[in-house]
Amino acid sequence: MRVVFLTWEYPPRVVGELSWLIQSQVERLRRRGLRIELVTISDTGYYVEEPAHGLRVTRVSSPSSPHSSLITWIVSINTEVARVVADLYHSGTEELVLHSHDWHFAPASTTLKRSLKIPWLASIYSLEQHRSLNPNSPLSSCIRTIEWHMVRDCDAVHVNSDWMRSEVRNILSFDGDVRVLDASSDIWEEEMLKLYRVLVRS
Amino acid sequence: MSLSVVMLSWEFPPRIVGGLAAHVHDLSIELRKKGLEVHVVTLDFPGAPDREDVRGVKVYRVDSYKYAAPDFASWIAMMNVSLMNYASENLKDSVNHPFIIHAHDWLVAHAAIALKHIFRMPLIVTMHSTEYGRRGGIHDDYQRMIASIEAWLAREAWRVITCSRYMAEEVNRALATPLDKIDVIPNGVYLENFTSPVNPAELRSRFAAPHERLVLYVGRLVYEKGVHLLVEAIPQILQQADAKFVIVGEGYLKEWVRRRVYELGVADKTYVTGFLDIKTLRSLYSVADVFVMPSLYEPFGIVALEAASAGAPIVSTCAGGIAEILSHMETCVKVYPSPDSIAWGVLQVLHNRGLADYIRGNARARVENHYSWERIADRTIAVYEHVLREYEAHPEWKPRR
Repeated sequence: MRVVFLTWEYPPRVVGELSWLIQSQVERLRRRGLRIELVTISDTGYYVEEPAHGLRVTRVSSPSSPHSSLITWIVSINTEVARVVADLYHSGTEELVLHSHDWHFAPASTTLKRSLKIPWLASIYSLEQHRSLNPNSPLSSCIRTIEWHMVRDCDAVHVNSDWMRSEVRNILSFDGDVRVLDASSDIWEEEMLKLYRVLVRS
Repeated sequence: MSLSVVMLSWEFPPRIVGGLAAHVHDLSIELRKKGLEVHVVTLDFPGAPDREDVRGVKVYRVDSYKYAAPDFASWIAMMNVSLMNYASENLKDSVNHPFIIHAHDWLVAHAAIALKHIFRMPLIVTMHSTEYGRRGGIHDDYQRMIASIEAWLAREAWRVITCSRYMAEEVNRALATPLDKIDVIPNGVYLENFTSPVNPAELRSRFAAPHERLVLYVGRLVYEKGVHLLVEAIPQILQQADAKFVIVGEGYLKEWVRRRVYELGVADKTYVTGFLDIKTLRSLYSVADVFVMPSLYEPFGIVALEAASAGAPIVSTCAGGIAEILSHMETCVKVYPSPDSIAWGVLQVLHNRGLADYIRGNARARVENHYSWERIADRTIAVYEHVLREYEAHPEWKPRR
């Protein structure tokens, strides 16, 4: 089993807190023997590296530029992410699990899940409603609809706290299952690995 | 096993934005007639069913407003997400493998590219026009974005199809697509749509008096179609012939045309009709004494095929792709893009019945022999088969299971 981490930030591309959070998650899971394919964005061209045993980081850029909005940019990169993950899928026989972090790669994840039946875990750290200065702007509305479809299209939703769970339920009008696994707890790795295994088997 | 193809197009009847809808519709139906399995994934339209069987072609209409979008380009992007999500779910089991993905223009680029890699099936792209050609160059970042997406799509394509050699060169120039990757397949026409006019005498009387010769223009009323050159030629033609100028189409020059014919004192000899219904338009070609095509830019020139099918003698500047369809004094009278030259050409046809009959007979035969949809479908299938042979022979790039 390989877990494909999809995140729009990963060091050295640091936009906010998410970058460091994911780096520590990757490190903890990797030490437990999990093999991770991390796909993220590079602003300066395409490259692949294996910084540690069991971890490969693929950084993709938008094949088209310039862009007129954040949305055209992120959809172009989603197309690239779909290509990279599809190449992983077709070139091996191992089971894959998608683990997306926040909304950015939800479009590619939906497509990959539906076409190649790759199970998909969506982690949510914050919602557009929390981040945006103007949550009702057309751009934020677009991102909110992406989040809205994400929680419904994925196989499991994961958050770090009970508070976030109620936010996801209220803001996205979602009454499905939301798993709370707190990354600060000692059993987080164990629970996460268990969740991946359940997803692969289902 | 029969050949399968999945068409991706942002328009398909009844959703009609430009010429793409008719092209994809006619090509799909003709391919189906030849025994191919044809699926068309397109966008929804009020009143049109989500799934439809159009003479054997399976049509899927996707909800294009599933996501909110802040502007047109973002809407196109999210519409592509809807397309790829829909197609990945609904085509996996319903289409025979292997299949060709055939995308039309940049508007479906993201979906086409994602589906190509996800299914590992060959992608063929028809570039109907380019942003560079449509805008006469790339002038701002918005156009640069579209041109960049076009170049990406062409790069991902196994083969690129254009409708004329002229367009092949434009795609080569504007998108840096190597010419050896481009196949030229012209547009097609259904001749029978133009050969049996409904009540032609009555129709003619609605547009021109019996003593007037009917000079017809059909096209958008925009600069690149050269309608302004024809308007300026009208007084010269009227000095030597009694004619009515029927100008069909809409566009930002419509008011200019209306005003200019008054200024020139020829308003009573000019009829600016606006849009006409398809039946009237098709019949109108066959009662025209001369059909004028004064275009300055033309990726292909489909109206030349329509006029020739109906047997109207053509006077044309032979811009862009038209030069590959028509030739001077064989199938048309070729003129320079100037009012003087257009007047000369129109008068040649009006004053010389032998010439008129000769060029329209030749033009009609040329369309019949080279541009019937049946011919065009055969040439398209030849490209599909060529690509599939290469695909089958490729050892690495195959789906996992």
